[in-house]
Amino acid sequence: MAYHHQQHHRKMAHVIDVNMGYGHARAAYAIRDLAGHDIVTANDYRGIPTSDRKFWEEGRKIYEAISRLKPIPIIGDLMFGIMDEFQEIPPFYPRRDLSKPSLQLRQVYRMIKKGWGKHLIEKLREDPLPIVTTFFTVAFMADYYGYPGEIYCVTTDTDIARHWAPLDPKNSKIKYFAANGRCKERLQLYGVPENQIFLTGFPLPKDLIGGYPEKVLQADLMGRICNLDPNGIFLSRYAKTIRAALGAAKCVPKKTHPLTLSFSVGGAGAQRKLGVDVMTSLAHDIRQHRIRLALFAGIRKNVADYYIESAKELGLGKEIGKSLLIPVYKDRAEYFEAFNAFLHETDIVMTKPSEMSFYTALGVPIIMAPPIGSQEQFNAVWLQYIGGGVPMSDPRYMNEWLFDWINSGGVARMAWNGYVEAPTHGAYRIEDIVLGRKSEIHPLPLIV
Amino acid sequence: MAEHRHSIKTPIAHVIDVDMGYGHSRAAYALKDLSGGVVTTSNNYPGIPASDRKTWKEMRELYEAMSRLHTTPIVGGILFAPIAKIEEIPKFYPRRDLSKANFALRQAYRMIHNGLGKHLVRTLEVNPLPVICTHPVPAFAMEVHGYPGDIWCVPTDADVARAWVPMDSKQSRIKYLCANGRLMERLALYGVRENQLHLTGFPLPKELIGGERSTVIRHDLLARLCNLDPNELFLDRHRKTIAATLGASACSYRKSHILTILYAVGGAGAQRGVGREILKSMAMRLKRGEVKIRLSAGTRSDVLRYYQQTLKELNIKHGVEFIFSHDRAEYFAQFNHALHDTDILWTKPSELAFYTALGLPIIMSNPLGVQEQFNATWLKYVGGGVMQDDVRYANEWIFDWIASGGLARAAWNGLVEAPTHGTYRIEDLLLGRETSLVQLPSIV
Repeated sequence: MAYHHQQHHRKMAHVIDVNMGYGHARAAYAIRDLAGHDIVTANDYRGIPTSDRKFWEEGRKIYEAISRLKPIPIIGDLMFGIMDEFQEIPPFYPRRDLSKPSLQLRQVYRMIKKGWGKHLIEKLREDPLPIVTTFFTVAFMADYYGYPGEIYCVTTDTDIARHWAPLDPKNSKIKYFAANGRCKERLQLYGVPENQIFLTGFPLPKDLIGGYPEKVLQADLMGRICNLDPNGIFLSRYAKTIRAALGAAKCVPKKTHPLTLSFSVGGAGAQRKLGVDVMTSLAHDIRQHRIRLALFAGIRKNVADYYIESAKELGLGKEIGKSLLIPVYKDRAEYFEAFNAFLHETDIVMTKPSEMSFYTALGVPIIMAPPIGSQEQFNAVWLQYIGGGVPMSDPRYMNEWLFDWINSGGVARMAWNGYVEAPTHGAYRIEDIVLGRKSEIHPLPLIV
Repeated sequence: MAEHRHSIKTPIAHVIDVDMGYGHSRAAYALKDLSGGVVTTSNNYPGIPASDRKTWKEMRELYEAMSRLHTTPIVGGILFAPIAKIEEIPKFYPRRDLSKANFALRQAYRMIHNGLGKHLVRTLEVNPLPVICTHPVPAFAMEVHGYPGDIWCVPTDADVARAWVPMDSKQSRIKYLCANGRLMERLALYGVRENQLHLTGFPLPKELIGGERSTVIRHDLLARLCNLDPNELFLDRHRKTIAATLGASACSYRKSHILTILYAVGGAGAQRGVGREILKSMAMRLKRGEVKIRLSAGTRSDVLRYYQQTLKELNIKHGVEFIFSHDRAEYFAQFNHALHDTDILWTKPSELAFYTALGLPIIMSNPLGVQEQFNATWLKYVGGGVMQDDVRYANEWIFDWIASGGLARAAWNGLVEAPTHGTYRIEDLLLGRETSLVQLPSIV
């Protein structure tokens, strides 16, 4: 599928995200080629009516405020529990009709009926290309206001609440790109017709994949495995498989990069304290250049400043820019670009099990910070089922357990599991479907 | 190891277990070739003094009460809290000196100093072969009462409490045969000298392995993968590795038996209710002949009767088999034989967690006790087991997991990641010969 390498500079679809956390934006960024790199942010586009902006702002402020409250004992948990209740994902088993709309969904539709999103859809209607949105509300808006083009919605977690599907799913024209098999099945329980759900996998950055077959990914993975399996335990057990898949199962003596851990907090910055715990525990190893730690603060300068200050207090000031990286970016696009580029030489990602869980498909092992919200709990279960991630142990002693895990070959195995088991080519499959062309990429099995 | 024969004709050790739960006895049963097929049960051997029997009986009753308490909601938790403290396994990190003896250990030594185990030592020292104890107390008794031969101890979980290691751990001559790397490191934190620690893997039944080349496992696993990967998703991803490991014929599965799930309760018979729920959930599938359920009642006739009654209630007439015997050795023989054509082992994460090394995927019921929580973590880390979902809907999720190839992957992970040849390594050590088996890496 050579043509999958090309970048689309012509706009073939409207790719629409929202500025609320990073999940929706990260997914949209991966398929930006479809939009000729012109992503529309539904809650922050040029000309957005004040009333619409207000609708969005309220939702976002509540989300971010409560996410920030989460680490506070009792109160944070209580507030978050209430919010989570609204977003609750019911148990999957037994399979049953779950199409009854939730309170939150009815509320969203009430606001849409009042005119929320009408301006956006009218604007897009001027050029009725397919809409590909990573946020359900935008899809509902387009559906409600009779958008003439196709409407696609990309799910951004491994399991989703009722409010991802429309009020009347059986009579909606919204089509879904499901990130995994469970998402597809879940949408069906919510009433979405099966022929409107495409199992594509989460859209991952094409720069990190390199087409089909995934040449860039494979080269990165081999370098990663070499860093993650210093005693050759994993390689000795999986040599045949690795040789068959990657063409080599030996590490060249020269390392491509130092052992690198990227710590990525969510947009609400709720886990900044954890970042400092990690830095504290690894301080000696950072100084010894045994590990390189990158603390990603996204676009939050205050978080980056907090890290820098803490680093100086720990006597790590000299390591900033060397074995300790604390980058900060002016906008989300710049952040995603740099983060993706850095993943080429990242060996381990530490994150809460957000949409970043899907990145294990790039052959990146994930160490999970505690999940926030029920969808992240599902992501955590999925990640463990895949074998691509593991919950963190006590961060204060990360300098011990991290290296124990690495020395046992276990982290290398996670990298491999993620690559083999999780869907890699979501962005390519989505492109093929939106562009209406036949895909050469193998169909995904319905992995639970 | 081709030149190493493991069919041992004359006893070269005394293998000693305790009749308390199945874990200690299951490990001993796997090692019985070392003792000419005879396992000495320290709390129930011919000639055991009445005082020893009484002390052991009290310990066993406490153990069984604890196991049952675990399954009692809320009340169990409250009542169990002080006992949990006694059997607590402290956090591993940060690594630190954990050699200070705890209450449970001091209590055990008090009993030994009062004479517990002395008669057993005097009995065995007539023929002072090495002793292999699968419970710590007999090993301590051997040392305290001056047994002249070597003393070996086989811990039966993936991580253990301080009570597994002698009071004066640094000076003790007890040698440990460790099931996994974490256990070895833990015993070192408890003060056991490094040269007393041997990483062998848990002793698994040789009849289910088939020598160094694991010929029996390969045969059994091939048939198992056929049932566990009906859509060939797993096969598709790992074709080359499977063919290289199991032989070229593995590239196409051959069905040899109906999908078979074995549910095992522990020695106290707790969690029998899970077996009942499994039957209820699977009733239709059993009637349609889509699955076979094996219910292991162990040596407990009350559990057997409970299951028989459940079958009557549910009007299930086909597809269910029982594993039961009043005799422990006979029960283990039946159990091991059944594993040849068992596709999924469903159990609490007891010592049976180690059985994933036979290429068995394990569905875990809730762990009872802190050591089982560690076993569950180990099993998940190895990738050989998953926690059960809602048992009432097992008829849905088990088949979803199978359809996705996930349980085939767990079977494979168990085989590749968990140590298989523990029994053979222990035999080589006891025979004092160099093993040709691969050295186990210290997997956390």
